[in-house]
Amino acid sequence: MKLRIEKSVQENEWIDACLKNDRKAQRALYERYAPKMLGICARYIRDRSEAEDVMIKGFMRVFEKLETYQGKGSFEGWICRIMVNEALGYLRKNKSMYLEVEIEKAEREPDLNKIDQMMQAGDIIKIINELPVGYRTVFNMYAIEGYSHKEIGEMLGISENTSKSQLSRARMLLQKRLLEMENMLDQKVEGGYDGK
Amino acid sequence: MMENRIDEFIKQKAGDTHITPSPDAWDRLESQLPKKDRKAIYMRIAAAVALVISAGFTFWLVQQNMSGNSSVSQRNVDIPSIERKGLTQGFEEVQQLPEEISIADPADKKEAVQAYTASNGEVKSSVDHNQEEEALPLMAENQEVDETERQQVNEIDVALPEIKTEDQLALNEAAKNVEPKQQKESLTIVYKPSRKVAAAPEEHQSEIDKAKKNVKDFIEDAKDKGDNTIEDLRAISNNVVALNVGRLKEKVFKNNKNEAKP
Repeated sequence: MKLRIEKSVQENEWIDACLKNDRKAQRALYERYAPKMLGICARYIRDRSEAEDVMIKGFMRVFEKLETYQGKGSFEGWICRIMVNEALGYLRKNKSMYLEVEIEKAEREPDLNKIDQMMQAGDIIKIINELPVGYRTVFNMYAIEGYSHKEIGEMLGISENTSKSQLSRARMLLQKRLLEMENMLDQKVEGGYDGK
Repeated sequence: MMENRIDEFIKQKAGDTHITPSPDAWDRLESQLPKKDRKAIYMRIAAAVALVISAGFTFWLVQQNMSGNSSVSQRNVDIPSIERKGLTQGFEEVQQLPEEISIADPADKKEAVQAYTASNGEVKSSVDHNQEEEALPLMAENQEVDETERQQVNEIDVALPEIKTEDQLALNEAAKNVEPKQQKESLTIVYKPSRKVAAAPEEHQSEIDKAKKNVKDFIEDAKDKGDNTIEDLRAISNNVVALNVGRLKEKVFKNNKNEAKP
């Protein structure tokens, strides 16, 4: 509890200083949040350097919009939303988002417990990145960021139903992909692979 | 069911992924951030303006305070409070001022006053310096020279310029020294609010207006030229402070003179 208060005090100081265009405070804010924000951008944008560019633009937007931050909700959450919007803007500009891909259903469900022990966050991000951009976007927004289909529909300019169908297709692909990973891991474990 | 588990699994695994950006990412971000923040400049200008105005106001208050002071000791009490406000330099000059009050050697004053009193009470016509000195013991012994004599001194003091006697010089000197003699006795200076003091706020107001105008001009300059004018602004600030110190000193001196020569 104490830690939390201190953190929010520090955050407020940063915000005040950033509003005065204090470079040190801006840098501190950046250092604090950049890795997480790049993690978010990397889930939406496959290319790492593109993702980084988007993150930088996202921080620009953060500093620009800082005045409008009301202090409601967590500051981190506020930055996350800006990053997601920035990523969506990038995708909208650069990709045709909604491809319908024929997906065969996976023959069985993957054993998540087994995969869990073997996989790193980076592996999961790779798998997410392999999804077609439309599926990937909806999956990220719904399953990880926690937006509703209604919100996703509004933010992406698609219908709720499209959002739902994109999500279910994303899940099917992920399931299939995870099963492949499981099978692959099984083979590698047999061959002495340590999972790293 | 499985779908939700996949969501959960992926969220748990990758939802809070941190990826360290490349080292030059911050530089790229910084290069896009606004180079010079107007707000920061304006804040500094505003701070400088506040300093100028508050310094002016402080001195105005001090002036008022000092003019209204009833004794030297009270004035001395004020000195540390001003030093605390960081205007030590200005005040050192002021501190020296009380010394100027003692205009001449106390012995001379006494002699002159007595001489004048004597000449007024006894010999109104032509008296030379020696005669005055002779009259001195007369006065001391004379039972008639009392409170009324002293009052007469003051009355004549006021009308002094019109009095035409042969020992005008002596009279003037005596008049000048009447008050200092009292100072010597009581060791306090009694200030009365004078016409000059009443006029001070207006004069000061014009100074403040002038300063404000200058500051406004420089703010306009600062908008065009940026940081460089801050130095100029500081110079103005210093000038205003110096002006105030000068005026303050002058005023105190005048007040003392007014007291000595009402």
